[in-house]
Amino acid sequence: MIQTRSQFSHERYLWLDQARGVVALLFIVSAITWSHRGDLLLEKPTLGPTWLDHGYNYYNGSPPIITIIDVGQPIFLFLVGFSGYIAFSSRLRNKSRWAACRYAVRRVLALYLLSIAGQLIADLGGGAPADWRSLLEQFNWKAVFLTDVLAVIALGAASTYLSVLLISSADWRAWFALALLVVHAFLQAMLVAEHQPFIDSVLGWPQWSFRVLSLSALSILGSSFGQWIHDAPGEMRSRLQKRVMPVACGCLVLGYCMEWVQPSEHHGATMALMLLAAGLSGLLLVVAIAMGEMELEVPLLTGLGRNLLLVFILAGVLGDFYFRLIPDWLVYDSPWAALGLLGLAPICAIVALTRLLEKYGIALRV
Amino acid sequence: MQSDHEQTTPAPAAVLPRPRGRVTKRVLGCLVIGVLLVLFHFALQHGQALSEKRERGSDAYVLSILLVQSLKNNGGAYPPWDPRPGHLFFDRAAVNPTFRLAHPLNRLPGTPDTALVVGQINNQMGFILDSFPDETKYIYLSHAVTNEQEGLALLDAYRTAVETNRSFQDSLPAEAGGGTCGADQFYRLRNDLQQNLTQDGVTIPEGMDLSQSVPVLFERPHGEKDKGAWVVPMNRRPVWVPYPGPFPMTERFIKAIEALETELQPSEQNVTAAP
Repeated sequence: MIQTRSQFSHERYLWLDQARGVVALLFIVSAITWSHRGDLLLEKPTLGPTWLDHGYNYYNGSPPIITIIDVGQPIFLFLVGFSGYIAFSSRLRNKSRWAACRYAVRRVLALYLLSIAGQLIADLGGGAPADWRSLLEQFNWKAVFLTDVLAVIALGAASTYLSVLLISSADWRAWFALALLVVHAFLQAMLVAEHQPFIDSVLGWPQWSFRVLSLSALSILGSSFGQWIHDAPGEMRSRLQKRVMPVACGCLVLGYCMEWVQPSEHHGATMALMLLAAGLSGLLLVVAIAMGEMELEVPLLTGLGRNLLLVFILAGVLGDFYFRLIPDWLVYDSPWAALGLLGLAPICAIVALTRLLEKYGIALRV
Repeated sequence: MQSDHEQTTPAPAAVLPRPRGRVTKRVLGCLVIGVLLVLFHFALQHGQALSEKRERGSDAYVLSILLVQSLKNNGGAYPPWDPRPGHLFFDRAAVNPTFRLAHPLNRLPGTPDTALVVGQINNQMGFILDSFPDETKYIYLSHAVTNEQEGLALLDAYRTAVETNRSFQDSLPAEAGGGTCGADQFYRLRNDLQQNLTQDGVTIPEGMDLSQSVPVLFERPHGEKDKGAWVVPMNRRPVWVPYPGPFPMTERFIKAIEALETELQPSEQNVTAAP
């Protein structure tokens, strides 16, 4: 659904859009570095800044290498919970429980529809199937409903809405999220389900991608932060002092301790990585709020943050179409071509588009 | 007379009694964390044991990829046995030496061959196996057998072949009806084994899928609580088989292999005494 600024159902925070803009930027960069991640085995080098690429593209061993991009998706899920709380609770407060639930269902279904559409585009990109039956057989249902990025966001959003509905206290919800992370840590430690999907499926290991559990827990934790900050407009400083900062720092300390016994790992979305992401998200919010208080704004980020979904789709489309058009020899032989065609052009194009939409107050929402 | 300062100074905080509920909560919190840490320790131990098992399965699978690579180079035939007597492993000379093994990284299910790499990657030897996997951990069968009886007969045929200097490149003779699926010979393992058997009029038992029933490579049984081994059949999907258990992890077959190896492999004393 396309909304204009006047149609937003609740007050928009500029600082939140700034924080979301940072995540959107990380997401575009991750799509770029992913497209040219090279191949360790075939000695094809990775392109782009190392710290903005997944660590496993350089070394896929244990303990894994974690970069800032590895916390990108968890921070995104955290913000899904944060803004999900604001949107859901404003409907609960201003309209009715039924209206809030209707919004939640619509949003989750829309995300799943996008996930299905993305999978269809990917499948059809490999050649049109002979008939509908073969298309259904080829269709990766597990990815669409459980492991795909959009599916993970849908599940994160669903768990946020459900937890807000069932647990009204932000503190208890945060404890609940922590308990889910502990459960995930146990599951991860006991190797009860797949870790390296390919080799584990070859060996007949049970397959269930339980990373959605920890990412959903992060969304729930994000909703607690949303409640602490959003529900106390006059006591912002006090809430930041009493809840946001202690919890963010606590997450960083606990995450650091967990690193020693169960290191951060991207695919498993381990507790250590989630706590690191929660801590960084909390600090990111504090910085964004402080910037907002000082009336500091990075205009490029606002448009990206307001049209996060559009950025998300465009970055996916880039991966499927734009990057395929660029010949490897060009970007591998010339770092200037790589910088221009990969490093800058996609970011500039998306930023320009979101700026234009921002100018007219248009946002794509589900 | 007291000064203003003295009048306004609050009582020291230490004098105030601490709320009992708060202390209880902290003690309870510490207890919960302690219990969780102990439980987590056991969970990690459990995971470590499983991780070793999985690592061995992964190694067996990587070895099977090497064998598949040799199929392409040898017209669909698996490599023959090592010519050294009593070494029930494949002949490494028959496997393309330019291929080195790597742990499966970034590999797509449809293209398992990408796991085979040549040379170093990013100048980091850590990505590839420096040495060949420890072959003493594995047993390889270059001829097709489907059950314990056939397996034991194959070991006899192996012994005879060693004694008569017969090559392992071809099929090995068996007693009438004692070979592969009741044939009179032990067929060499090939891609088209089923087709060869059918052409020769050998009846494959109903419901038997040779790609799953014919073991190619398997580990020697190991483990304490969960004793068993990874068995790689012709379909290259490693299966964990408990020991003692179904073929080839039967006690009789494994002991017969060990006896054959002891019998045929020259002892260290003999080797060092040799001129």
